[in-house]
Amino acid sequence: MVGKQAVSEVYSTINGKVLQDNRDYRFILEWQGESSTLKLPCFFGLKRRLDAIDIEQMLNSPSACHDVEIFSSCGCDRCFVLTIPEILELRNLLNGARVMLELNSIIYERLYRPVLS
Amino acid sequence: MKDILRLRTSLSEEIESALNEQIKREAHASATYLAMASWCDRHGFEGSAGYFYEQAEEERRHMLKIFKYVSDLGGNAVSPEVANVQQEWDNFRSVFEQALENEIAVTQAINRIVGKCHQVQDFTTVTFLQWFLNEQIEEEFVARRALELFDVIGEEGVGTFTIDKQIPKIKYEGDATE
Repeated sequence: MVGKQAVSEVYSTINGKVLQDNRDYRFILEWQGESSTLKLPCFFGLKRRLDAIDIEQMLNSPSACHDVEIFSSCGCDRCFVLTIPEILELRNLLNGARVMLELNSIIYERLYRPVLS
Repeated sequence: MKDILRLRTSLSEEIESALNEQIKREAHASATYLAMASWCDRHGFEGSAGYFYEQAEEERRHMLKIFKYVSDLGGNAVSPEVANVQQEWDNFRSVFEQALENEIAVTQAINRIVGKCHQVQDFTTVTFLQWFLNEQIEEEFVARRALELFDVIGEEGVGTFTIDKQIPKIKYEGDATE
């Protein structure tokens, strides 16, 4: 993962992809054909917002208003309207991206930085 | 691919989240001590009210210390919401029982965070939290001693008046934190 490409793919699912812009230190979230650029704190803010959605309540509620979740997140220019399967997939995408970012950190820590020091 | 995660912050998401929870706990503890101070003032226990006002300030300082640590390391320090603060107690003694319970809960919470830090090898945060663990030795000692006064002096006659006078004088003189 240590390389000099301007944009690297971090993680992808069927409907989405997370890319890292190595020049501007930002993330690009591609979800269902639309693209949003996020700074790192905003990326994790979106992830926290998504993780906070109560899926169990949505499943148990007979009300139609609980069939979809509408939300926006600070630093993201997009308003998400998601059904339960979409919430689960987007969670999977962001969680997968987080794991890959942590893996990248581990690779840097174990392989790259020891050579520098 | 650049390591943006590490370039931005030294804290893992898990530890950042645990520290933000602790910020919330310290803020809640500060608000609870303030409520205790108010209760003591209302019931004529002036010495104890002063003690709890000081405790409220101290818990706020603890909260700020963690808050600044998270910020200094590039993390996202979250200003806490404080809700459901207990305002009433049955009697003078129960205020101090609650105070000791709160201190024990804080000690245990910090211990759990230190445990997590060891798991992810975040020794910087372990070193930072060592100060809090030392502080908790004193906090628990003072809260426990305050409660002991109820048994030693007794609440009959001028007992509660005497206890109230003695509470602000409790000092931790042990060397466990040195």
